[in-house]
Amino acid sequence: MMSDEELVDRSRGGDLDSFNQLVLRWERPIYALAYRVIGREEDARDVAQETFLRAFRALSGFKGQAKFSSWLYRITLNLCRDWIRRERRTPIAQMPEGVDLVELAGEAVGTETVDELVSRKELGRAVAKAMALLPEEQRTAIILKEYHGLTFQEIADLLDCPLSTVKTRLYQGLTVLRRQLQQADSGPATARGSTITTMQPRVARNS
Amino acid sequence: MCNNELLLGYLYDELSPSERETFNEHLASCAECRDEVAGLRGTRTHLMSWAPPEPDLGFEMVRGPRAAAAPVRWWGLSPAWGMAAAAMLTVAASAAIANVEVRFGRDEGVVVRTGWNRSTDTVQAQATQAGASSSDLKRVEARMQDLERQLAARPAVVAANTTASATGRMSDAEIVRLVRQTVGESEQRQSSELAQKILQVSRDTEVARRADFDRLLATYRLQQGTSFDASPRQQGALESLRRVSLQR
Repeated sequence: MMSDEELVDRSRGGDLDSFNQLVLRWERPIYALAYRVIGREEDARDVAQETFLRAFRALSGFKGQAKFSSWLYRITLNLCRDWIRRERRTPIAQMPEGVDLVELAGEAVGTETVDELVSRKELGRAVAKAMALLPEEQRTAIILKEYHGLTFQEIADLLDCPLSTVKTRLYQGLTVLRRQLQQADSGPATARGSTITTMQPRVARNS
Repeated sequence: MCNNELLLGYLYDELSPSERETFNEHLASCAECRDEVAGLRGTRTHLMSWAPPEPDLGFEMVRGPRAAAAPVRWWGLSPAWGMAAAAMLTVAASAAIANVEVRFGRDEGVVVRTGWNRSTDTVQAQATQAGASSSDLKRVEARMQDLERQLAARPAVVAANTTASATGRMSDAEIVRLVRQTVGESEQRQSSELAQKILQVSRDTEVARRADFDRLLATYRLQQGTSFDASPRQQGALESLRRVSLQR
């Protein structure tokens, strides 16, 4: 399989197929990044599309000083920032109404029971809500770290800020999330105690 | 002494071996940091339950709306296809004006995309690039020029209605911008509806084309009075014709 850099080289020479291979490779992560930053499916799709369009137009200016993916992430984040500024509001993750058990059963993976899956979905929604309440810089840093696996240094380069700033944003954001999610766990739905018992063994296993 | 940066590095496994050792020693003696690490690990696990939706994205860069007209030779084969082709070309031309991208993909049939860019400026820029031959565009331009003239004729009223700027001239600019934005949004809506129609036409055409080709083959078989098996050479020729005709 060709590396991103090889495909970029070919794309720069006018090979549209090579660029489309890059699109295929990166459309999901880019969409996921946009979705988590701005919280709206349709707008995230537009941002992702626009990211590739801009990347294609600016390909000649990409000299390989950063990883191609970092360059794409940067374009996406700029577009997300424009979107937030334009909409002048905090992103609010879409909360689907109710939970479709049949649909959920189809999604169940491995040994996970539907109960556990419902808990995971609920928790996912709680996370989306808590993330949406974070300041944009903290949210972005956490998204890049948690869901895209960037190093502290890569995030600093991407966001043009000092390493210590990245760490501060991450730490503050995580601390707020921890508090919010603890509240969500012990919140109104006490029945969601099952979430805790579901999640805790996994914490133990993963750590 | 507690150090949040080290704690974070420990949490994400980004410490050098010596830093890690130092922090491990600290953890052994600091219950507060142990609790913090455990708590944040729990939070990180919680974060993993937030999955984004997985829409069918299928983005693809294409060379632009003009690509729709060029490679489609099979339309010339029958009058019905020809008419469909003419209809499609008309729609494709309108689509170019309305910021819709249309192409014929290799495997997936007609691909229609809209809203590459929601920015009004870009929509207008692209509309302008589509050429002055468009009557739609001329109408929009004429309407905007008309509005600009009207606004210029009444600076006092405009200034009275705005608190944003000090001069009537700047208020004009602001209002013209809003008008442009409104026109842009309307164009975007229209382009979206147009895309739906194009998609429908393309599906209908595709179905008709396949049915027609099957009929063509059936007729040919009748005329030959023979089965495909009887003549591998003819079969090969027909299959290749079929393949070529199905290529877009």
